[in-house]
Formats: sequence, C-alpha cells, structure tokens
Amino acid sequence: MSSEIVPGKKQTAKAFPLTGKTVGTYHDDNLEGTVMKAFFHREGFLSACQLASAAVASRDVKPILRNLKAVADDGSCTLMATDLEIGIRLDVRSVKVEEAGAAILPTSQTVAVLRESLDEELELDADADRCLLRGKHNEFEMPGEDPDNFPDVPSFSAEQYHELQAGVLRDMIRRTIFAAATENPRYAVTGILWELDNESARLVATDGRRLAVTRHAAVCHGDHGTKGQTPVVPTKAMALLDRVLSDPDEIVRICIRPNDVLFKTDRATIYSRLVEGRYPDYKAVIPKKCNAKIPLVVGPFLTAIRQSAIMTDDESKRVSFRFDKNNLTLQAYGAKTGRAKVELPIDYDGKTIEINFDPKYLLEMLRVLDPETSLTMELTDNNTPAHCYTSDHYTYVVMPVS
Amino acid sequence: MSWQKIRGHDRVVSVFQHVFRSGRLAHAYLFLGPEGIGKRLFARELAKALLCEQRQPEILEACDRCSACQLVDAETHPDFIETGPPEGSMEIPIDAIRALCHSFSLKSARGQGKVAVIDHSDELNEEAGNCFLKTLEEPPPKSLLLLVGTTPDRQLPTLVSRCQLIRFAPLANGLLADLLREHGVDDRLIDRLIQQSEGSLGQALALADPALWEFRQKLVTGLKQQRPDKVALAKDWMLFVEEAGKESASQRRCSKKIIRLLVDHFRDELHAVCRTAEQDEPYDNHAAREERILAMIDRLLEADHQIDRRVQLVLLVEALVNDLVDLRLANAVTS
Repeated sequence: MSSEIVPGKKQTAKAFPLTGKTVGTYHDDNLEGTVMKAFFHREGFLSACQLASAAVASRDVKPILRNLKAVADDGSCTLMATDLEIGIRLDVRSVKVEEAGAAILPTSQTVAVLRESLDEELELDADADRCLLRGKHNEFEMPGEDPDNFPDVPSFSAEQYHELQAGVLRDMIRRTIFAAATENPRYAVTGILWELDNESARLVATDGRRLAVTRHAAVCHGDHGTKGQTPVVPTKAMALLDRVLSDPDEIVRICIRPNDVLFKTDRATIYSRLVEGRYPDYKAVIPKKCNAKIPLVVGPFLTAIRQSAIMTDDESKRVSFRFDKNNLTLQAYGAKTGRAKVELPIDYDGKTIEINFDPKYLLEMLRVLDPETSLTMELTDNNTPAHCYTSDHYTYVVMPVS
Repeated sequence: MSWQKIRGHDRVVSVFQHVFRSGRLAHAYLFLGPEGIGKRLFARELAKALLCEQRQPEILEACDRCSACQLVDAETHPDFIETGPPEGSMEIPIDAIRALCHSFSLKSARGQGKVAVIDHSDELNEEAGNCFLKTLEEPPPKSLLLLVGTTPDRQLPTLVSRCQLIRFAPLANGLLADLLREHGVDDRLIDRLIQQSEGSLGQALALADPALWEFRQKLVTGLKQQRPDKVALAKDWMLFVEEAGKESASQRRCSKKIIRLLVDHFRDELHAVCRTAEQDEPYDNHAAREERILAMIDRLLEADHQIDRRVQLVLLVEALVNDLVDLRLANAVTS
C-alpha cells in the first residue's frame, strides 16, 4: 500500500448498516486504503477466491493471514493470499470499482457466501471495522481488519524473465518434486533447484538417496539466468504452482530474484521466498561410466516392479534385480509376507548383473513417466548408483541397497 | 523516538546502538534478567529497528511509520518470527521451534535480514534446544536470534555457550512507581507492590489484583486461629487458584503469587518480632520464635521451588498448609 493510514484520525460517524451501531469511518481525503467499495460478478469472484485460497495459511500463523486481501484501484481488483513463505496474486475480472481501497476478507465465509448466493452481481463494501457483502435480498457482515497489517504479495513487473509452456512446466515439476527431501537439516535439499540459461530451464531435486533432473528448452527474455547462483524453490511453492496451472498451452513467465521467485500466468502471480543454503553439487553424483546399458519400456518395467513389491515388508524394503541375457528377474522376500519372483524379457546381452533397490524409489520415478516412454538404465556394479535417462532429457540416479 | 517506549534500559539501548554503528552485531543474543522488566519488549523493538525500511542507515532506531514497522507490530512481518510457550503451557513445543527453524531457512522476504525472538527460553527442553542448535550455530547470513530468559543456570548450557549474554537490570523504584501509575494502579497499593516486585513491572502488575490480597488475608487469619482447619485452608487455596484458569500452568502461577505474598507477610512478622527484642522476654524464647518464623519462610520457599519442579499442585498445597499450621502451632506453644 502506498498510502499511509493513521487510524483514529479524521473520522466521521457512519451508521452500521446491520446493527445500527455507529462506527468510525475515514474522512474523504483519506479514503484510499481504508475503505473499499466495488461490484463483483459473482462467479468470477468465486473462482478467484477459490484459487487464491490454495495459498491461504493453514495453521500456526497470525489470524489475519487466514484471510484474503482485496486491493481495488480504478477499474481493477487484485486478490492476495500469503502464509509469509509463499503467496498468490490474482486479477479479478469484471469488477466495477466505486471506491478504490483495500479490504480483508475472511476466506471460508466469503467463499461460502459467493457459493450460496444466487445473484449475478454482489457488492463489497469494507472499511477497517467491518466487511460487508450485499446481494439483492441479502447482506453479510463480517468483522474487518486493517489491510495494512497484511503484507502485500509482490507483483510481477520484470522485463527480464524466462518463458515456459504451462504443460511443460507442470511435467517438469511432477518429474522432480517427489525426489526432494521432506525433512532434512540441510534445508537446501527440501526444495527444487532451478537452473536457467539462455536456451533452457533445468529443475533438480534430491534427498540424498536419489536425484531427479529434468531439462527443457525455454525462451529467455533479456538478461535473465541463474549463473553463479543456486536458487532453491520450496516444494510447497512448486506444488501450488502445479495446482494453479490448468491450461497446458498458457505461457508462464518465471523471474528469479536474489531472495525470491515469481511465476506469472494469465491470471495469477505465484510468489515464493527462496531457501537459504548451498545446493549440493548434483552433477558429481551422475555416473559417467557404466558396464551395462539396458533399454527398458516404462509400462512393463513398472508393472513388474509393482508385482514383486507386493512381497516386500517393512524390514526388507528391497527387490533384487538380476539382469541376464534377454531376461530380467525380480525377486522379493519378506519374513511374514512371502516370496515373489517376476520375469520380464529385456533387450540385453551383456554380463549378468545383480543389484538391489528399494522399489519405492523406482516406482515413484516410473509413475511420472508415460507408459510408452523408453528408458535407458545404466549399471556398473551392485554398489554404484543406477543411472536412468530418457530421450527427453530426464535423468534419474538412484542408490542401490546392500 | 521508538526507543522511548523502552524504559529503564538506556544502557542496553546504547550498547546495541554502539555495536550496530561499529558493524559488530553478533548473530545471537541471550537476554537475561528478572521477568516482567521489558526484555521481550526490547527484543521486539530491536527487531523492528533492524527491519525498518526508512531508518537512517547509521542509526539503529525504528521509524514506526513505514510498512515494515507496522507489519512487525501486527506480527505479520515475513522476516520477523516470535515464538514462546503457548498460552497456559510451561514448555515451548518442539513444533514451534521446528517452524521457527523452517522460516529461518528461507531467504529474507524484504531484504533487510531476519530476526527471530524466542521468549521464555528457560522453558526450552533439551529436545527443542537440540533441534535449534544447528540454526544457532550456523545462522543464515544477515539474521539475528534473540533468546529471552531469566537466569543463566536455567538455560540449556549448549545454548548459553553459543550466545552473547546481555543482562537487564531490575527497574528502579521511582520508575516502577511511575509505570504502575500509568497502568492505573491504585496509589495505595503502589508502595506495597514496589516492595514486593523487586523491580519488575510484570510482577507488580500480577500482584496488583485486590482479590489476591484478600485471599492472603484470609489465609493469614486462617493460620492464626486457635485450631486452624488444615483441610479447609488447602481446599480454599485450590478453589482460589482454579479460578485463575483451567490449565495447570496458570494455577501454578497463581499459587506462586500467593506464596510470594505469604513470604512477605512472614517477613513483616519477623521484623515485628525483632523489634520487640528489647522487652524483658527471655532470650531463648525469643530466638525460638524467630527460628519458627524463619522455618515457615523456608518452607514457603521450598514450595515455590517445588512448583517450578512441577510437583503435583494439590499435593504440594496440602503438604504446605499442613506444615505451616504445624509450625505455627509449635510457635504458639513456645511463645
């Protein structure tokens, strides 16, 4: 908010519409920021509120952050939600602004009112004391709060940024997000590393036992890139972005700044703070040499692992893989569960290799790929990480279990 | 202008201003001093000054007008984290510390650095303390951790060794009287409260409740009866503290206040006994009376300690009342 508000100053009395109580409201010359009055198209406003509520803080935060903030200036209205880590900014369409200003809207009540109402248009009338939604035959009054106590979510104004198609970006997120650590004292690995250069974008995630890297061509505008930095975006922000992107053809603009990152779609801007700390040198983990190169198809490989994983139990979380000439044998054994043996014909005629994996780490990777995709697995011996990759620049490294 | 809100700690204010000017601000400070003298208020003001976006670069003082200052006041500044034991609890939950470490692991949202305040660091248990050690040891750049506690021996040694200690002195009596008056405390109570509170505004305000003084009177009268009813007194005590709140933490706090007032009462009594020493009472007899009163004060202090050690409150109160009555009766026999 650019305007400065001095609560308690220059007030005139105004009747409380429902209760008849007299409350303070601000004098005309100090209207901006404290009073807001606008007419909304109900359905459009509802969908904006629902989308924004994805970023509303859930728990453990100050009560005011469980609300939405609406900021209206001449002819347009922006809706914001934040939990101080991530935030979202949405443009609300078809709004008639009568008095520019800002308002704090209680999320669940506002969404419920908009959902239950039958009117095509609703009036929002708010000041620091209360927030009023008015339809043709109904009126809903909610307690108001000072909008200046709600931090603004930054807007996207960069001239230098990268562009990716929403469908591509979503795919990249899904191919990496599962591999990030959930709880780790090395905070950097709890997020996704972004690397942007002149022609491509690369996303990296690891939890120390596996590593996922995906790369795709991206359009670069201006002098934007991440050379010399290791910007790590929290997984929470990536998950929100995944949820917000609906149209696969829409263009997403990405701007990485020293402390935060902004993603802009047609309607929404997603903001997130970056994670502190140095990201491990992931390139050193990817094996350079190998003894065996095995071509596989995702669908059948996934099925075989799933079948064999039935007989693993909590103690023996492993499936043994035996790569023979033209044949892969998967075996699992659990003291209580039993034994499984699954065979899969493969196109391989090298030396026999035996290696054990935690099936979870392979399944999570295979699930995000299309069943027809062909995958190459490179192995050295039973102590060296396996290196899987596809032709569309997806790399996955997984540690074997002994 | 904003430091004016901090009363009686000018020395600490100037220490921080000097340290800041010379660019030698440490990464973690432990504020120590009695409860209720303004340490947490100071920590918050310091945070505000550091995060303020419109202060002069050389001077550590919040403008109190920019949006960063307003957000710190509203506790919604993304780079300001404050945590402590939840209402009614005497322990800082490990989840609160995890949440603090998590938000400390994110880069500064507004670019002025990050400040975290842990209030009541006395109540950090070992688990929560350990969870926090790594952040304390290798804090991210441009970040400041402020721990607020009472005495060094109540802190985890692992934390003390990693912080710079800043001691806060109790408030001077004159200042305390002014502050109590500003808080609308009855003039008649003020002298008594100052005596009681050892320079702590928080203590003085906590004791400023007339119901508490009435209850003290009731207890003292009860104890002085020929045949004090131990069971009834202990029961009254529990009923009184149950009014203070359902959670055991507030009941404990209330009991501590009662004990404080009783100690004060017996101290007065001791003074009175000493003053009558010139009269023709046999010395042995007199000394025995003094001994008894001292024993009662000792017993009260022991109970106070037991409250800190989380002894079950009902048992503690019953035992205390029982012992006080016994001591009082023995007292009556010798005199």
